[in-house]
Amino acid sequence: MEKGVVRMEVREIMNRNIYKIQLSEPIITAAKIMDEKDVGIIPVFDKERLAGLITDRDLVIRGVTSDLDLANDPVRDIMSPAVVSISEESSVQEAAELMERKQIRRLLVRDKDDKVCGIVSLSDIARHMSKKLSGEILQEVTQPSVP
Amino acid sequence: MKVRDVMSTGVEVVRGSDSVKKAAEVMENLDVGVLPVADEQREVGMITDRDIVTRCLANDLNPQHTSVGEIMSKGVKSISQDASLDEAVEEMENYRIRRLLVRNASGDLTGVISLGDIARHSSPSKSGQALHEISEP
Repeated sequence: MEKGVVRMEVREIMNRNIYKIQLSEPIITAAKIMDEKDVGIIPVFDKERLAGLITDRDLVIRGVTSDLDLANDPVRDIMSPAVVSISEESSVQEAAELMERKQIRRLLVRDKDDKVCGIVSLSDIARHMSKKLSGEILQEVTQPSVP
Repeated sequence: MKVRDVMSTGVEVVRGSDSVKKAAEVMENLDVGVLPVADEQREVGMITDRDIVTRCLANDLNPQHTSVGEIMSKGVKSISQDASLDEAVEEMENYRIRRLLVRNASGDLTGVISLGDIARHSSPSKSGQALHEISEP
C-alpha cells in the first residue's frame, strides 16, 4: 500500500461467505462443499470452537495419498490444526504482512467477540491494491482457480 | 526476460491410465499442483490438485480406481522456452488459461509456466514481494 492512501480495513475486503465443517464429518464432505461452493478452504469446528482448517491441497496430499477411507474417516485426520487469524479491524497492510510472514495466502478473520466472521485471501488484497502491482497480470493470477 | 527464465523445470508427466492416487503422490513428492498428462506420443491434458477434489472426490469416485484420463482437462497449449513473458501472457489471455507447457526448439517438454511465475518476476513493490513469496506453486 502506498503512503497517503486511506487506511483500508480487512473487513472491507474480506469474503463473508464461510462454509463450516465439523471435525467429525467425513473427509469427502469437505470435497463436496469445496466443489459446490467453489471455495478452496474451509474452517473446521468442534461444535462452536474453531479447531482447524482444511484446504483443497490438504485433501489431495494428505487425503488421497493416504490409506484413509475418505468416505468415512473424519476431517480431523487431515486438517491443519494451527489457524492463523486476524481481526476484522486490522489494516489490509497488516494482513498482507502476516501472510508474507507465515507464507500463507488466506487468513481467517475474527470479529470483536473473537468469532470467525470471514476469510481474507491474497486475491482479495490484490484486487484492492495499487496499480504498482502490474495490475493486469496480477488480476488474472488472482482469479479463482480454473481447472 | 524469457519464458525459460521463470518457468518451473523438473516437470514430471503422468499417464492418462495412471490412477488419480498416483497423480496425487507425484504432486506431493514434487510439491506441485499441476501435472501434464501424456499418452504414448505426446501430452494430451493437464491435471490439477483442484481437479482431484472437484471432479473425483466430490463425485464419490475412488482415487485409487479412477484414472487420470477420466478427470483431466483435455487439450494442452504450449509455448517456446525462448518466447517473451509478454507473449506467454498473451497466449494465456487468448485461451483463458493460467498455465502453459514449455518446449525447447526440438519440441521436447522442458517446463511449465504459470501466471504466478510471471507475476513473481514482474512486480518490484513490497506487496509484489509478498505475492512472490506466497504464490509459490
